[in-house]
Amino acid sequence: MTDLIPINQVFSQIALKKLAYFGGSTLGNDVYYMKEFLDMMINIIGEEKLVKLLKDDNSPNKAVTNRIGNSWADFKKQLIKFDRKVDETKRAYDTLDTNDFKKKDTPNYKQFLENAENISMIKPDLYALFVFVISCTSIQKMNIRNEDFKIFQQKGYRATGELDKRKVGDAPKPVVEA
Amino acid sequence: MKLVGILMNKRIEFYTEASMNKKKIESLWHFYSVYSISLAITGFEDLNIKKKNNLMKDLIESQADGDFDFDACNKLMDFVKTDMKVIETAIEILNIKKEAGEIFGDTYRSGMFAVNRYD
Repeated sequence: MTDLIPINQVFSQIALKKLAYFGGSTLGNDVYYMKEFLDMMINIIGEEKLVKLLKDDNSPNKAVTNRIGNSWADFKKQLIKFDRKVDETKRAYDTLDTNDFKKKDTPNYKQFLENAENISMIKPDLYALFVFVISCTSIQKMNIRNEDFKIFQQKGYRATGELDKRKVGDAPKPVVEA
Repeated sequence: MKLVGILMNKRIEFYTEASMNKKKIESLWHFYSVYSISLAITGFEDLNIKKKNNLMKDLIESQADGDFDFDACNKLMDFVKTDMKVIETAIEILNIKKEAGEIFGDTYRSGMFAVNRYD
C-alpha cells in the first residue's frame, strides 16, 4: 500500500457525516449516501490517480479492485445507471412520514419498497471500491461520533425547526395582532 | 482501517436491534451490508449472490403487497448462519491489523509539526 492520501479536514467531516448516514439507514437509502460519499472521494482523489491505485492494488481483494481499475470506463457507466435507481429510492424515502418505518400501511411506504426492490442487496464491486477508497485515504483512521448515527435514526435528514435567535437576557418580542 | 471497523460494528448493532424489534427486512439488509464489506476485506467470492439478492427482492415485494413471504425470509436466515463466518474472518483481519499496528504510510506530510486529533 502506498502513502495515505491526505484529505482536507472540512471534506473529512462531510465524508464522515455521509458515512454515518450510510451506517444508520437501510433499503437502498444507505446506498444513496454511499454513492454520494464515493462521488465526493473520486473527485477529491482524482479519477486518474484512483484508477492507477486500483490497478496497482495488492490487497486480498485485488482480484476485484484490479478488475474495476482495468475496466473503469464500463464501471463508470454502471455507476451512472445505478445513480438513477438510487435517486428514485431516496425521493420515495423523503416522502415517508417517519424515518423508522413505523407506519407500514401508507401508500408512500409501498412506493418506497417498490423502488427499493430494484436495488440489489449485495453489490461486491461497489463495496470493494468503497472499502478501497477508505483504505487509501487519511479518513481511515478517523472516528464517527455516535450522535451522528442516532440523529439519523431518530430525525432523519429533515429540518429540526427554526432556531430561536434571541440573545440571552433579551425579552421576547411582543406579538402584534393585525 | 479503524473507520471500516466502526461502520461494521455499528451496523451489527443495528442488525441485532432490528431483529429484536421484529423488523426482519431492515435487520437482513443491515446484515448483508456488513457482509458485503466483509467480502471486500477478505477477498472471498460468493457464488450465491444472485440467489440472495432475488430472495431479498421477493421479501421486499411481499412486504409491499402486505403479504410477508416467510419462506424467502427463512431461506435468507439459513444463509445468514453460514455468512456469519465471513464477517467473523473480516473482523479477525481488522483486529490483527489493529494489534500489529500496521502502518499504511504517513497520514500527514513530513513537514508538519502538529496535527489535530479527530477522535
